[in-house]
Amino acid sequence: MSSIIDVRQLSWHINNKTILDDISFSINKGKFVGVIGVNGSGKTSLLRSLCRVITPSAGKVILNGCDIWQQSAIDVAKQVAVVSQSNAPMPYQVKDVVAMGLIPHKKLFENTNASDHTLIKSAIEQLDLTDLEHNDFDTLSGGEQQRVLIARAIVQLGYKNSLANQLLIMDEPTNHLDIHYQIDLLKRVQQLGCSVIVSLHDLNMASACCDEIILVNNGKIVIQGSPQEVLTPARISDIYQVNVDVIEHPQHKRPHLLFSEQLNHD
Amino acid sequence: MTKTLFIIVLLAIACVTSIVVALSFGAISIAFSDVVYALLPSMNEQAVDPIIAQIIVELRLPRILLALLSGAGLAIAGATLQQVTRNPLADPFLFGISAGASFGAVVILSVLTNIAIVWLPIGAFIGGLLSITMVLFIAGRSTYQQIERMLLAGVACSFMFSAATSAILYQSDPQAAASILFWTLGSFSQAQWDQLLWPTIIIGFSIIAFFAYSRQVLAISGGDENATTLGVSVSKVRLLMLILSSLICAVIVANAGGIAFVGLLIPHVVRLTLGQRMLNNYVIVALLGATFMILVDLAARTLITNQEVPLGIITSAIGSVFFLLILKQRRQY
Repeated sequence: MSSIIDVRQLSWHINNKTILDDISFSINKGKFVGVIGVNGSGKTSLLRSLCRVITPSAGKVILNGCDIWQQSAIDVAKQVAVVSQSNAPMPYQVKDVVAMGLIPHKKLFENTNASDHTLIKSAIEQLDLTDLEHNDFDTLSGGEQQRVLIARAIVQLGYKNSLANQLLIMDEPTNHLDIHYQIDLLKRVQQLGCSVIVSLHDLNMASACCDEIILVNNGKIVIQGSPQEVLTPARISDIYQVNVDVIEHPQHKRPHLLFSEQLNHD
Repeated sequence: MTKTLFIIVLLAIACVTSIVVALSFGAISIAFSDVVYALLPSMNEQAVDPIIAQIIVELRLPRILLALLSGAGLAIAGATLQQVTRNPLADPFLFGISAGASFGAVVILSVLTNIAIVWLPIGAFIGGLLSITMVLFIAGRSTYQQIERMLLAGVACSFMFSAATSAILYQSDPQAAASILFWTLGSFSQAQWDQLLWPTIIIGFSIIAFFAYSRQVLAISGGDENATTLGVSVSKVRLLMLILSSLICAVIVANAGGIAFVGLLIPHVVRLTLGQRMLNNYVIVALLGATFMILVDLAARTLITNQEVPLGIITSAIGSVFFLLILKQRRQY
């Protein structure tokens, strides 16, 4: 099985501070990979360096066999889509935001044609957004916004392409979502058929949904492996500084973490 | 879609109507039928009075076309800059263009007094470009904090050129100061057919480029990182849009002086009445800007008998009041 992304000795320093330190890993096509680690460990920086948002100080990111910095931004955007909380408001209708997925595929004067509209419509239907397509993106709930951005990623990656050779990067997509929407969102992403790298805070969620987990600490990769390999009590209590027991989940048989920290119960 | 089309048709009708009305009114009033016949001589067997025809074709038409180009150009430049900087205050003039152009004009009028007045637009154009070159140089090509550097460099350049302009004016004779003042307030009164060439080329070219990049500009308005992940070269596109807006502005300032507030007002009217997404619909923005500018120029010619009111006074007066009214109305929702 060939790899979708291959990271080699990646480092990123800013203001004499090392954020990413000699990171190497590789992800096989079609895998669902979780990135976990404490706040400030470098999870977000790592994800941002995979899609040309961060220019690394050293090292290479090989995407489908080609260095992302040897390809144009447009070619990379055809293979990698990103779902993250935007820091700028997007006061546009849902279908406008989904249509942004066409940007890397369209030449300067090219219009949106009938087959583009079909693609946009099917992406909107796939994420059950049809009733919201004329709503303002900014007025949607967090979970709905995530779904819109996934629909946009479908347009961006699925334009005249199968999703098999494509990568979806998600930065803490389940933040601020209730448990129903967290599971709903991750299920929808698993069904897309592309490779996925997602940063998660909820370790049990990561255990339940990921094929592989990458644990990051102080800008370095501690371990990459299956949930069973990564989520051991010793490692988690060491990195997260909490008391933890790990049991086997009765249904999916993956590790389930029980945190035994006593908060005040007086 | 049909709603958008309806708005475009409505605005196109308003624009054509304002052109006909502006051709008809002025120092002397001309019947609408004569306006049409003067423009389309083949439609009528009996020729229109040649003097009337001359007033319309040689005096009013080039002036109205310059107003149309300027209004459309300033409105689109403003809309684009507001999107790529995500700053509702962005206006081509915020980047020091008018201050630089005034400086260029003052140098021509006061310092190089022995050269002909036809050099004034060229001096203003060069001054505007000088200012924007400094802003671009300081803004740089890195995306990081590019917007802040652009805006602050623009403000700083504005003040710098204003200081130089004031210093020269302080030393020069009152007549030069008066003509500079009139010039900085803006007027289309000098418009002639042979003068329309460069504004048409530059504004037309820039508008075509704005249309070409409208998807990228929309993506940037949703955040730099958002646009980067969609394959947009953010800093390059933003600099290109700033350069094009500056060219539009410089050529307008050179030919008609400083016309304040249009580049700020029209995008906000569109945003507040039709929604932010329509800011990216340059047909609507251009038609509204053109119609507004033509009507303002009509007011400038007709408000006071036998005298021109500078455009800048009218655009600022109408613009600011209208702006405040819209803002107040919006607060009630």
